[in-house]
Amino acid sequence: MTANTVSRVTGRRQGPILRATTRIAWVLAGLGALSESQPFLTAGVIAVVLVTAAPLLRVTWLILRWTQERDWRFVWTAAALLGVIFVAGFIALVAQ
Amino acid sequence: MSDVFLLVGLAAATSGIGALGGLGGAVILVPALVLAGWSPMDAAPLGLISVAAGSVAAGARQLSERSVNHRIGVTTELAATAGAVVGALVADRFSDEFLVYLLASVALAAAFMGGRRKGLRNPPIPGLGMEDVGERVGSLSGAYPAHGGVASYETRRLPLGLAFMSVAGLVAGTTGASGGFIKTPATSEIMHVPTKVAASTTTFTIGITASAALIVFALRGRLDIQQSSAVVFGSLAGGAIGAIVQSRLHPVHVRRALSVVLVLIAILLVITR
Repeated sequence: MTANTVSRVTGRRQGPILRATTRIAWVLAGLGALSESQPFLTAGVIAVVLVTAAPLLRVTWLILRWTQERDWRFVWTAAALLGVIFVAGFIALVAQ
Repeated sequence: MSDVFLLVGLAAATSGIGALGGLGGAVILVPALVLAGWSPMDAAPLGLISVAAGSVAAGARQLSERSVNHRIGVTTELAATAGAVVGALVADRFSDEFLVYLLASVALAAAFMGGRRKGLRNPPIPGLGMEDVGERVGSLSGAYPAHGGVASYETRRLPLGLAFMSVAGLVAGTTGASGGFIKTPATSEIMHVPTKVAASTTTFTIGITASAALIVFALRGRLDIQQSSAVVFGSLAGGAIGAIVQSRLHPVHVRRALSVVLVLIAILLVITR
């Protein structure tokens, strides 16, 4: 493909998944906010994990889609982005 | 429990307003939390959670409008995330007083940049149709639906734009206020990406920055789950409503009103310190 080719990555598949994630996280977060007892806190943890993980999963999904398009420059850029985040988590863990 | 209700209300309102202006809600939420009695250290992770939730909530609608350029987002985000991680790692070393002044400065800068931002730079091009809408493979360019037609764009001054993204990430990681108020104007005014594409792409990228910094905060045990849940609950609702309203209102009017609110917050922060 050339630089003038319109990318096939349109977000048509990603959109419904994001919408479902939003609804599930919203319900779980509502429960998590209600009480500090264990089941409610667990629901809250899942909600926080969902909204924290969703942007990173979107980047992972982009790497897969751009690999299909053989757009290597952006595959490596996105992989480097995830790498920086992974290294940061490791540094935070070690630096505690 | 009253804290929880306050957090839900503040998160919903600020995420809604943030999504409207394409600035991210944390730039209002974090100062508002400090005014309500939270320490800047405690307010920072809550601000980041609000950003991540607002980004997820607005994402589906912005994808359906095809206004997000993922290639620009990922490229600029590499610089911003590096800045955010450094900010989160050194945030513990700053005093609360320093963070209050930093937040007030950030709010004033956001007010200035949001207020002066202009509207349309890329007019629709005759001959371009809906089949041309989207990102271009291998480049930081694309086309998007605009004002009854299709407008194309190409990114300019990438190195300067990336420098601004690093600063935006540093501010986000240190204070918890999303760097959207720097990223959106930098993408639009420096890199010459249309305002709507810049705002949607920034909404995508500030979620990544927030996630990166949140992982650091979580590993350091600085997340209160009940308060975080309240912020997620409010922000998801506010972000979704804000994204719907954003597509119906003229963004210049919204940004000017937002600028006034930000100036008031900056003044209150310093006065009530």
